[in-house]
Amino acid sequence: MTDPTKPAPAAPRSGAFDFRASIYTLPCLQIRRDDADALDAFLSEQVARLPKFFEQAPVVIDLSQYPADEPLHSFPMIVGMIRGYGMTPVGVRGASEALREQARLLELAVMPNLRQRRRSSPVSASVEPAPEQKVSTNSSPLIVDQPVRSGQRIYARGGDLILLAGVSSGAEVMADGHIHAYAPVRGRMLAGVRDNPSARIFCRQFGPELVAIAGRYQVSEDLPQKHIGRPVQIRLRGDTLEFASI
Amino acid sequence: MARIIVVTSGKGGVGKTTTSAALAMGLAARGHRTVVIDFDVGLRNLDLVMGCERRVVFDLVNAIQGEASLRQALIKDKRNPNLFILAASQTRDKDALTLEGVGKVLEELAESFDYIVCDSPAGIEKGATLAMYYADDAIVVTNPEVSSVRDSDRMIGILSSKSRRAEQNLEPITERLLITRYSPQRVDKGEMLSLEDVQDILALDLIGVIPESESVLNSSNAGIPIILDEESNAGQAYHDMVDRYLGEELPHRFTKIEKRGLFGRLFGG
Repeated sequence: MTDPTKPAPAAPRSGAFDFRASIYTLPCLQIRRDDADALDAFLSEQVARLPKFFEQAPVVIDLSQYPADEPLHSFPMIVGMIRGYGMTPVGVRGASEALREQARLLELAVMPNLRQRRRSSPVSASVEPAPEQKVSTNSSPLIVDQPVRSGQRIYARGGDLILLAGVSSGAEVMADGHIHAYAPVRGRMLAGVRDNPSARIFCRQFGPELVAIAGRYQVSEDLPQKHIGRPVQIRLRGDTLEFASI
Repeated sequence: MARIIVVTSGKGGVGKTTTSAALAMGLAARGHRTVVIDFDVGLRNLDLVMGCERRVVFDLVNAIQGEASLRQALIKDKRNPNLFILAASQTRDKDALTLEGVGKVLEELAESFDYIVCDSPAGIEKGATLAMYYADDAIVVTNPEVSSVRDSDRMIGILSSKSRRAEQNLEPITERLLITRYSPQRVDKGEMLSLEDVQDILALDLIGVIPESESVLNSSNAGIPIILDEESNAGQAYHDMVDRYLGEELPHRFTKIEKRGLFGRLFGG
């Protein structure tokens, strides 16, 4: 958790007190279904894995993935459950008006909504693994048959990316869907960039600087050596990237 | 109409000016009216390598800003009447170069020359982008080592996206790769990238391989383009490059270690 203190805009100094802006990175608990029992099991498992981390940790309840105007009957129970596991719920975000009112009664803050695209945050867990989303194949795949040079970026919006020529070190290729690379890749590959964890990467000659699926990434140094230079498939299991020969 | 060739690299110190001088001199020697222009405003070197540093009166910036006519700015080479040099300004900075200004100068030169060689500065900033903007052909100069290869790769990407031909959707610039300072001995020892490695990473047609050679420094000190030194390997390799540019197909020399046979070793052959 980072905590750089930013200087506040000029405010009248009152001697003993001051308001200053700070930036914190907070874990957000995403709630997608109204199922307190499932949440209980989930929290129990998570806290057992990283007890120290969750002890007294401030947590934001993220309702942006919760169906828009449905009530969340177990909301008060959920808040109590989170406290029961030692965390401190501090606010909600992405909540409907009704739920914001409930939050107010439960003395929780309303956090500002953030943009959809999420950087890697291994702790932003969901209630349960998201059901296998269909990769959006509304657009036909973007086919690239020229080498992608250092410093260039390719983005296959709304679909898959098919690479027929190499990707140089220092280049970046991204797709909302899968990435299929039939030539050597030495640059960065990011699949499922708009938070699509079911996206996969298929690579004929593996050797990138960085791979990422839905924001979870691994750099070249941390890639399993046995796959370098060979055909490989990468998918996301929970929050970890899984590599398999193909 | 002239053919505009840019000699570029991204990385500094790999041999762009040496190559520009050799290419221009080589084309002129084969009977083509050629002008070579130095785009490195403030850090000019082409005039030194061409041996005309004591005859520079007006330069590219003077020509662009109308302070001198092109006729006055062009320096005639003493060795070959086909060859002219347009030096860079040493006292101004690169903000004096403008896209329109460069375009006008090149348009005027195209009327009386067959080939215009643009010697690009290092980097990917204004001087480099202006040198390549109007090009028809590009020679990307690369040393067989990792930083140079990566910088060349970046430059190739820029050539295919930020040139006039790219912006106007015309036929793209013909890009060719020139590997310079190649040492087969070091490649053999695993200290240097091989030409196959470089070609593999950059995926470009190879127009030449210039071997590492001490004679390059000597020539540059004397103000004589290396291609005029017919004894040196580098000079000969540059001749091959010019011939390939003009369409001939030649095998790449000086890329393998010269193996001396038993007799050679016994009798010092």
